[in-house]
Amino acid sequence: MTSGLVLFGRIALALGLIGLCAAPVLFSPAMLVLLTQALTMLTLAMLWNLVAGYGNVMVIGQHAFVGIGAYAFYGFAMLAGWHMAVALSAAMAVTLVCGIAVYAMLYRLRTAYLAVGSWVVAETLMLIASRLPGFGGGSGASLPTSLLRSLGVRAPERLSTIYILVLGMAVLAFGLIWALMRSRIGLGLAALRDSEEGAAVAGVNTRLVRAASFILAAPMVGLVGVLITLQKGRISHVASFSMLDWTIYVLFIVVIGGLGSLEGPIIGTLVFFLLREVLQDYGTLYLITLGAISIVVVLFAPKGLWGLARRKLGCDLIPLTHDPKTGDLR
Amino acid sequence: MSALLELRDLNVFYGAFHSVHGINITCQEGEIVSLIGANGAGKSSTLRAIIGQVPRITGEMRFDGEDMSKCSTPDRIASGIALVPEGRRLFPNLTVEENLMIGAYTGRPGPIGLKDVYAIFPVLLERRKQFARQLSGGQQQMVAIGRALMMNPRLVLFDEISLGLSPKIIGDIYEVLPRIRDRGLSMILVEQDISRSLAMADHFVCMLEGRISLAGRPADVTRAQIAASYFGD
Amino acid sequence: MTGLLDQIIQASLLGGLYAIFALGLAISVGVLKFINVAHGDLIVAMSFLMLTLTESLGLPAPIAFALLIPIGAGMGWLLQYGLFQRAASQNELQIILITFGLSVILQNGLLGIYGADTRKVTAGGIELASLHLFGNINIGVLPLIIFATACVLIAGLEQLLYRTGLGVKIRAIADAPEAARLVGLKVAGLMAIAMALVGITEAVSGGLMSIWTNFDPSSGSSRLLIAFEVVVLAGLGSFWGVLVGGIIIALAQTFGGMVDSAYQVLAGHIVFLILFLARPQGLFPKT
Repeated sequence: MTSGLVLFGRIALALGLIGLCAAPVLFSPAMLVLLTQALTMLTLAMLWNLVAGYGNVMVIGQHAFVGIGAYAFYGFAMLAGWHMAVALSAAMAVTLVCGIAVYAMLYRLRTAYLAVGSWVVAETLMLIASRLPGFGGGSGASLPTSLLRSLGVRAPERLSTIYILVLGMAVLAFGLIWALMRSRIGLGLAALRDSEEGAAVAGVNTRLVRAASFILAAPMVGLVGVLITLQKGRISHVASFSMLDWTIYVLFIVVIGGLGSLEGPIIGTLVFFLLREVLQDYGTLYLITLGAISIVVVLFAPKGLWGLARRKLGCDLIPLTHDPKTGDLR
Repeated sequence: MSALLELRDLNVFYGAFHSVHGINITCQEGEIVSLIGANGAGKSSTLRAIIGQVPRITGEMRFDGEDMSKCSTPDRIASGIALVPEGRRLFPNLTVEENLMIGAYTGRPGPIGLKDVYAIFPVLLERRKQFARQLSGGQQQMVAIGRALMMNPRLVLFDEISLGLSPKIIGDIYEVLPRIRDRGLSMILVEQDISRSLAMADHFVCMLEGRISLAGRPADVTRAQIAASYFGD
Repeated sequence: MTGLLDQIIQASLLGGLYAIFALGLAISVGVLKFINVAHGDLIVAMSFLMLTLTESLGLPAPIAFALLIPIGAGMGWLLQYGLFQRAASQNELQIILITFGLSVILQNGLLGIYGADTRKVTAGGIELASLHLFGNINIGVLPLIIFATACVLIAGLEQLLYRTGLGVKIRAIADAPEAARLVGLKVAGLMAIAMALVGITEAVSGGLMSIWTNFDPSSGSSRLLIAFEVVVLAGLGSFWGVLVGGIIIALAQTFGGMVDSAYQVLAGHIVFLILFLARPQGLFPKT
């Protein structure tokens, strides 16, 4: 049985999705830019949540893969001159390979070590990116207008195209995570989230499941990096590998929204952009507030805002598990 | 004269799980009480409740006439209760002597010191600079007992001290217990090896599914009575 | 040739500063079992406090430095008791998230109070004094003092942890926290004391760093990464290993900087990653 509140929540989610699909015709370009940013952050949040929330792999170097995706795309599209779609796929392949390499390097580390270790790797890659010949060195490089034109002749058209791409990416990421969570690996991930020891005792191959969550997320984060590059029209080691934008904010979104749930990143993204609209004029105070909120949430509501709401609702808005009695999704 | 330890209507809870149901146990000064029962009967929970390491209890625990049911573990140990935990629970990367000294730091002041422990377990004197993890199981058990003695306790709780040890070693360790009693210490023994434990005890308490099924002096009951209360037939 | 020797000597002295950065992290990893992501920011906060004490209040540098130490200890104690301890029942991931939030608060707090400018504390000329060794090799008095401080701190910590009752207790809770509770050690209080020790190393690092190198509110991250690399290189539980680790990172940075100044930081990271892959357990693991 689902209560009225749950129904209301699901209708809100559905309306939200319809609204997002219709956004290019409904909203002004400024609003579209905001939505593009929000969906980008949402995608990163969902992916970080997959790795840290479900896989228990505490990475704080996710921005490395955003940067790798961006730089690989620039290399394939600009330096090698490949078609944009090919370059995009190739960039994802590169981040996948890098994801495997980084995981192979770090997987032995304990939680806290892995966290800072992934940060060292990201810092190293950022510094290397700043010295790569052909990528504009320390100041970065712009995508030529000829390339951006293929997304739309005029600026508003380009905005819509990029928005649709980003929306597609967010839906793809969500769909992948949803499908993954309903697979055998997902069952292992859910067990891992609840109790690492319990999962191991119950016969879950925790090493495989953790590796899968990390490695599968990498090419998707790379894709985010490509689309961020298209949004900004340029790459630079500072912006493409920005820890603040692509890791710290993402972390706050997931922690505040709710670690280890599908709804958490969505709620977190809403709260994050709401706070940003209200507080961004206050500069440092904005980040201090975010930091303080996240500490309070971790201390008093470790499952985030969604965890609080779920206790009221009694079930997930996005059905993931099967009801043991009826076999239906609940 | 009041008893050294008195448990009155003690209940132990782990979250929603009600592990021990309103038991009463008394231990006089200098007495050995044997606590027996099948796995899961609530013996270890009772010991952990006495030392103050269970999430929630109701009822009363008096030690030397004083209500200690709200006290922290460090307070209980400082007032003279010591635990030899199941699985020994040593500090593997501390030396034998450091492990023993921990007992002196947390216990109450008193006459028992390193010298006395080394007199009881001479092998530990030879190995005092070795790490606890380098010792055999029997030697580790000696360190665990020595650590408890260093606390200068009036009551020692032994939780499954013979678990995982060879019969020869168990015999050696049991030979030490009378020497501890001769110092005037009270003991509560939780033990799988019922005959050995009953042979030492002044009193016994048999638990079944969190309740006391039989209690008395070992000499006053038959083996059949004990078997019945142990297995619940 | 003497030029190379000179570089090696200077780098080794810098390694002393890096070792002090890392000592606190080594304690928190070893005893408290978590990495405080705000470690670098706490060091930088101490540097700014040093700046305030010397410039705004006009205190002489040595007195300001002496004041920092009890402040650092109190801050560490309070952080553990007031914040980290509350998360102790949760898992490691959550404690990292808390220290992460703390890091962001500190960085932006410092930015709000002091602005983004690069700062340095002047200490009445001691930072300029140097000793002539031989040939054309001179060593600065300040780097020498810092290196000696690193050695004194390391020796002091070893004495404290291996020769005193407090040290045995702290090592016991690090070794087996569950057993520590069963034998009546006051785990929370001991952890707060350990964190106070960490706070002292942060105060010493921040105080010395403020005189020797430039710093700004965002300097904390790079200090944390250096400290982390040094701790991992040293291996768990090895304090003298921390000094060696600090010297290795400083040497790598110095040689990287000789090739091209842009490679200075990068060389440190790369040498760390290579050594880490070769010896994941660290160079001098104790257990």
